[in-house]
Amino acid sequence: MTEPILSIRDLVTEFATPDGTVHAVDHVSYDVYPGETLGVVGESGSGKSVTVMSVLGLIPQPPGKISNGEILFEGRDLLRLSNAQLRKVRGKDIGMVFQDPMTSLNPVLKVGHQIAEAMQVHADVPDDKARLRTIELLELVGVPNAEARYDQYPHEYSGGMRQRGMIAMAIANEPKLLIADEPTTALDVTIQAQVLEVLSKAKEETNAATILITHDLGLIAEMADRVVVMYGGRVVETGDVDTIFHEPRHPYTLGLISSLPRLDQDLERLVPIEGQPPSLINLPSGCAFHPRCHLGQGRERCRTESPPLVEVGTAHRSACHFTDEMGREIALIESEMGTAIEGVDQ
Amino acid sequence: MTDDLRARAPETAAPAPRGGDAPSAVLPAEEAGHAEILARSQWQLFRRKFLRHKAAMVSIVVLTAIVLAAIFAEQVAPYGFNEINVLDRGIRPTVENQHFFGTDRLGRDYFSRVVFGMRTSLLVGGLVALLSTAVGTVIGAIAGFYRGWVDAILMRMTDLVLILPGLAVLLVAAALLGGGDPIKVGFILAGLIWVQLARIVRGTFLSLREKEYIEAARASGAGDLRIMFRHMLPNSMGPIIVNATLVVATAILIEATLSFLGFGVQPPRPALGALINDGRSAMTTDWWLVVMPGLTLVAICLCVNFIGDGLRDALDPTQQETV
Repeated sequence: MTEPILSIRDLVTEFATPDGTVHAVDHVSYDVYPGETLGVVGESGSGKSVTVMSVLGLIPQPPGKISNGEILFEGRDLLRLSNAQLRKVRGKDIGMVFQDPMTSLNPVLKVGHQIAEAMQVHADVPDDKARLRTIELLELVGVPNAEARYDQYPHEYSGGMRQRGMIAMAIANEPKLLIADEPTTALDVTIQAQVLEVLSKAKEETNAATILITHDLGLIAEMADRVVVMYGGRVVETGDVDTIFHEPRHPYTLGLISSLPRLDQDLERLVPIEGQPPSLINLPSGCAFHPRCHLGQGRERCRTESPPLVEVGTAHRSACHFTDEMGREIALIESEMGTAIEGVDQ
Repeated sequence: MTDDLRARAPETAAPAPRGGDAPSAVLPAEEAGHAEILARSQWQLFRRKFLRHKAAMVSIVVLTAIVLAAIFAEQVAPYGFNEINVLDRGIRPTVENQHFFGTDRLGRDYFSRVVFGMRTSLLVGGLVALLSTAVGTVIGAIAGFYRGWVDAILMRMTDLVLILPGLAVLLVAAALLGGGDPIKVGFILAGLIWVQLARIVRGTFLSLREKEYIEAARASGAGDLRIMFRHMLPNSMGPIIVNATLVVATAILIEATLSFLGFGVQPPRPALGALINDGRSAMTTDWWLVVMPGLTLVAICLCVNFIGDGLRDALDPTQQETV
């Protein structure tokens, strides 16, 4: 297998709060390979965003602190780089698309200037060249009338248009890694599809590896090659997208899949995951998922022992003590739903 | 007024499509001539609001006239500021011989003295506004951006300046440095006045640094200086500009106070405060010696404050235009 372009190893990111230290990211490891799209799913507060913020060195310190691990980008540990060195990586080798396009563009600067600036920060590009290249980029991401749009301010753009602008900015320097942090969450459903299309196109154009952070499993099914499922600051399951959707080996993943409404089948009912996402200040002992777990049923081992992430198939890993019982669990859920769980991907 | 109404009509008929994707489709019945709604830029919105602020517009006209008169004092003033006409002593304001503001007991034309006095006052006011804005912005920006110990040191410094008894310090400084020169007076005043703006800018920067677009700028590799001065500063221009205009008025008044007390600009160069002081002894009989420079002072300060008001209203995006 080829070398990963980004390799996160045993990362721990914690935040000091008045109520104690919160481990937002707790010994997380995953790899991103060149050209692939890695989907990262999880509920709010599962540490998806904090992980990539740590990669970019954008964790506010204090109160944040990266206390363990390494982040290897093309073999270099980003955590050991100085601020100035890290700045050369940000926006040049790693591009980032933020969640809310409404607030991610500076309201008092022209959109064109902001995109051009992303180039000029990293290379000595004369203004007229940067302008031409920016207009090209705007056309690439499907902003109509790019020439005139260059000179407009963010408030003159619609939401979808702004996200296109953000994508243009992220790929301006042809990054090797593109991080999209819930790029469609703040958009209308109709616009979402368009933005995803633009994102795929941008990825094709630059051939960048992509980390797609989302809590929308449909998005993952459509876009991702491999999936990382996070819960309570930890990785609970990873595998390629078909495996994850057809043979989940962690009850949380199964819960996510079975709580998803389906357009293609007439479901009897959805099966929600009961309970609340865990509070990071007071994580449940043992397996963080155990209070909500159907499979564990409060077994002693689940409550006391934190399950390690172990190999359960080809390139498929899960952090559950009872992965071998998952087959039975899937059958149970299927009978409850009246349909097979597989086939989410189209 | 009809122009105004016409311009507003489309807005009430249908909210302007902000994206500007298909502006013409939204307004079917509008006449062809002005059917198109143009998306308004920040600057256009600002200009529109500012132009509607009547007090500010009048003030701009008046202040421009005053500033021009001060700059071209030699041409505007019918007499020199120290020119004595022994025959015309103690004359009331009159158009005769062009003694619009009367003359003093030495026979100097008071209108000419006030015009030259305005030059001094405006010079001090402008200089103080410029200096204190520059210093206050930079210090406030650094404190708000870096927070932590940098912030602590800079803010304790501003607190220190803030608790100094202003007038006493000014008098001592003027006495030590020699207050005669308006430039020197300007520097002394700026040294005391920058603190307000430093605090305002610090507060603005503290809130701005948490904005997502600042994080986005950081994620695209922008450095500290670029983020501070290219991304955050334009977002805090509103309060900075408004504060600068208000400082002009404050500085002119303080300079007048200093001159009145005899520590400001020294004779023979006239300053508005000094003129009021000169006239004080003869106030009961020759009232114009106090009233005329006093009114000028009031006019300048009112104009500057109204302009500041207008700017604040126009720059405040939360304040919507009322139709």
